[in-house]
Amino acid sequence: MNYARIFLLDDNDTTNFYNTDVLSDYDNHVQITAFTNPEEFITFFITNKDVQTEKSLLLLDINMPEKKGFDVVEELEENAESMDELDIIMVSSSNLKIDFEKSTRFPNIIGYIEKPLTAEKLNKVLSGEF
Amino acid sequence: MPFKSTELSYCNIRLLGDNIICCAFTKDVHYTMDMANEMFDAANALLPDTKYYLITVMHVKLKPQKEVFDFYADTKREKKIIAEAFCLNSAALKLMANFYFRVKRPNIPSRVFETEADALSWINTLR
Repeated sequence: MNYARIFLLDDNDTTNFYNTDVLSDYDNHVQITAFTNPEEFITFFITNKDVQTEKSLLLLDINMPEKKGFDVVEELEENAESMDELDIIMVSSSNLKIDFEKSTRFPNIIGYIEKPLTAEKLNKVLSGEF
Repeated sequence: MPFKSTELSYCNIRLLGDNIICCAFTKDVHYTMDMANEMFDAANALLPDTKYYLITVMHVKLKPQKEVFDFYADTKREKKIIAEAFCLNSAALKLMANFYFRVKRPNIPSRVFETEADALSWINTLR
């Protein structure tokens, strides 16, 4: 995997724990950081210029009570100095066509995974096997 | 004089001007490396001595082999293609385009449009 860091943003701690496990098995060199609060992640990302210059992947839950995943992407686009190195995969428990179509409006979103996350699903997205 | 064109079983390739080629898929296909190579060769045969602008119209259902993304980003295409426009109208293909631009990072200037007319307008701004 060509990422220095992977960020998980999901309001559910258990999901983050499970996804961290899946990702660690997939690549045990990558640094994984989990967030449950969207605001906390947004602040972390926009205030850390070093993070913005490292090739990173964000696995972003679409449906969070505090803020929807797409709203997080919009805020990052508006406030981050650079999004050039951040790839985003949307993760959702529902396979809604409207969410899939909305994903295409944001150039940083490179894929869409239906929960649960598995190494196979992640590998498919990252290798371009659609 | 009518502009030249080539018909493949899944794609029509035609000259739109002195250095613009349009490749339009004509049916749903599993887009293989063989097809990608065949289309590239057929386009080059229309303009063997000239670099060109390429419009690829994908208004069908396509399932590309993952190797096709590498082929599109390969430096061999840079020797012939000045800039490239993709005309896409499905969410699935637009998401694939996001993946291609961000992960494969092609060197050829490339953009996504819905229609051939919009793609042509963009290309005309580059000429």
